[in-house]
Amino acid sequence: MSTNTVAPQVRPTRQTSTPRNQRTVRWLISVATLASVLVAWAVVAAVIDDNIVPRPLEVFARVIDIVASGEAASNFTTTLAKIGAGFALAVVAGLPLGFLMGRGAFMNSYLSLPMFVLGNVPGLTYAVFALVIFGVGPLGPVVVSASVAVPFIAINVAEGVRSVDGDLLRMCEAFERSPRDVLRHVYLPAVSAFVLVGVRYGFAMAWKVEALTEVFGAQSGVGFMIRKAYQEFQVDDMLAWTMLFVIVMILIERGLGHLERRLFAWRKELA
Amino acid sequence: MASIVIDGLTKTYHDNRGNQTRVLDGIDLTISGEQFVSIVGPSGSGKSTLLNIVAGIESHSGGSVALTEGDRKAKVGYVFQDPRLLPWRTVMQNLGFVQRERSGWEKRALHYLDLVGLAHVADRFPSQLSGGQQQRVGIARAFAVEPDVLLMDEPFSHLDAMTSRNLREHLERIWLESRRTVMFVTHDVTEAVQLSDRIVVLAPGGRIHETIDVDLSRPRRASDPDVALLQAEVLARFETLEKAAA
Amino acid sequence: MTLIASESAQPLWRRHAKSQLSSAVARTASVLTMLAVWQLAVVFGHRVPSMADTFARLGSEGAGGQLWTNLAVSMNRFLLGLVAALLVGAALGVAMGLSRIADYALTDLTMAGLAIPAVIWALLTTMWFGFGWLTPVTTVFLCGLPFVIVNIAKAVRAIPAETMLMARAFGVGRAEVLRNIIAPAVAGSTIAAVRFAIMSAWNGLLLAEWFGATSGVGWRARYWYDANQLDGFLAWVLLFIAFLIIVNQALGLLENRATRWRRS
Repeated sequence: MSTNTVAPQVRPTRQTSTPRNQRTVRWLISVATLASVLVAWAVVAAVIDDNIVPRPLEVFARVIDIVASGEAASNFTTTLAKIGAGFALAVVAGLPLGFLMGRGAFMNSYLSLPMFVLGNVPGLTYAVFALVIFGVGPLGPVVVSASVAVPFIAINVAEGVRSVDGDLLRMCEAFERSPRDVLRHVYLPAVSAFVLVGVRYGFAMAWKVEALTEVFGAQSGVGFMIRKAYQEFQVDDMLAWTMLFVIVMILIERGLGHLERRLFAWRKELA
Repeated sequence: MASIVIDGLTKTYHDNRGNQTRVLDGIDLTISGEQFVSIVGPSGSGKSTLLNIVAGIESHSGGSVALTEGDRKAKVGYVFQDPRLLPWRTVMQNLGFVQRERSGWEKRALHYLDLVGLAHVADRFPSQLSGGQQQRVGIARAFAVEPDVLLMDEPFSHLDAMTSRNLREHLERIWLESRRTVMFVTHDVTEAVQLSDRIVVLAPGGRIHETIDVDLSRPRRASDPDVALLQAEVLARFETLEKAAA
Repeated sequence: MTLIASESAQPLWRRHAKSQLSSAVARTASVLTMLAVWQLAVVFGHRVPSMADTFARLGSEGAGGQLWTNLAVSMNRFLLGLVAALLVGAALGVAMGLSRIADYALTDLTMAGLAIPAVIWALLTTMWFGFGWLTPVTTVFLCGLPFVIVNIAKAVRAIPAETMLMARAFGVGRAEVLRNIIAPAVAGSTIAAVRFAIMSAWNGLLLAEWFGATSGVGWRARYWYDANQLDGFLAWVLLFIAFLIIVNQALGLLENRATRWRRS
């Protein structure tokens, strides 16, 4: 009786695609998906045929209007300025808080709870109380941005401080370095990488809360424009501003990521 | 002229349960002038502790330590087992970080970097160098301070044999060029014979077991028959000490 | 000269007890400080409600029956939207984790979804669906969905390729692969995904009910805000936060249990 032995199937190995090919493929698929989403949107809008669901082209027309008229530039500048000011405050407050948290267990326990609270207060609460305490104007959004960002910065700074190698500190001692030298050349550089990480994650959280605060109580800025559009039932405007907002913020988040990679090239091999 | 005077030095550790361990037990040692002195001993003999106390990064329980250069306190350079370079600073900046005298330090730093053969990586970050290269930078850093006293804690123990041999040559070369007082801790007896003028042998429990004077001419090659002979002799004495400790 | 080696003669247990005590003291001091800051805000910021007023209002809401009815309504809406987000999100996340094509196709959309502030969804759904239950439920769904997708995709991608190859080599069927390989790996991360999704979704619910509802936690908070009674507003916000904390803790415990196999 003959036995059929089947040789194991040798499957032809898939050709390993070059990174450039991969990038093109990824881009193509992504664009194709976006295009189909747009088409689906257009169909739904056509079927509903009401201002409440504007057609994609209408929204894009509004986007172009907003950018061309300079409204985009001025409102985004205002919003980003507020966020920036808030972050500057957050770093100024977060650095010493983080140092305290990183150096001592007592301070760590003492400050952990307030940091947790600041980071988890619902956006609505921030927005309403900013309005109540600071009224309409830029101060509310700035303080809110700072409050949301501080915990991210402080906690990351604390981690940075804790990460400073005891061995390095002993080396500084052996060479009789002054505390100022140790602060400047050991702690600050070690911590700055962590600060940037804190800024990145803090930004991702803070700009959403800041936008909400602007919706409630501002006289300019992207959040204010969205509220205005909502009150005037201009859904196309709402969507246009939202689109611009999301794109700008994603670009900034990406930019911060690049910055982190560049500034901290020395970490390459350590990572 | 620099001198290290250690008088009746003791060090006792207390652990969690109140037990005491005597790590150093009445060390009397004087090192003066441009001597290269090695401290050897089996593990548990307290040699690293001794070095740390001399460097001032550990406290002692009794006795005294004095490092002087003439009538002032001696300037100390330290080389650790691992490089301990600031990872976010370049090689050159690392050398600059430990300088006390700022005038003309760059020239000094480059000179010593050159002596260890690393002048060409002055602008690189530590993460871009190999382990051996980083350790060489550590040595250059200690020398660039132009210390009165140089303390070295098993600086080659974490490197492979070939790199260590290489670095020993570099070390001897620099030392011959700019002689200073060196206190060198090692567990490798043959290394001690190759490098030192005097070998201090510590016994477990932290006492000085004996002192051996090494009278060979420099520079020394590990392949020299005289060096090899003395190494064999000292090794034999060391082995009996280790067996007694076990 | 600083001491590196600590020469304390204290036994280990005593040092441990001391650190526990010091941390408890720190946390108490922390709570007291925050309450003090609240008091200061009451005094210096006009219209900031005091602790007494806020808790009084909480009590009266409870007595009047508003507390439980609104909480129940919000909870229903929340669970509905969340479950939907979990089902759809898990499906999409697994797809993205397993198939590169799905990953390329959906990543940008998911990133955009993560980036859209909850308030936008709340406003849009209010406009589209009016004051019905669809508004908050859809908002919850849309807020939670991207977090679920991202976390589950990450978990699936983390399954070692060797495991999948091994399954394929043994000819294990799809359903079995799903049950024995994908599900356990995803389980731990599902909890993590749910935690993030919950925070975002609960926030979304609050906003959606604020703008477009006639019942629920968000609506009641708005009611007091419109009536200029900020103690009522704060009372409901505190309830909101309390719920979040409880759920977070519960999920934390669950996550520890689910990832036991990974740690042991």
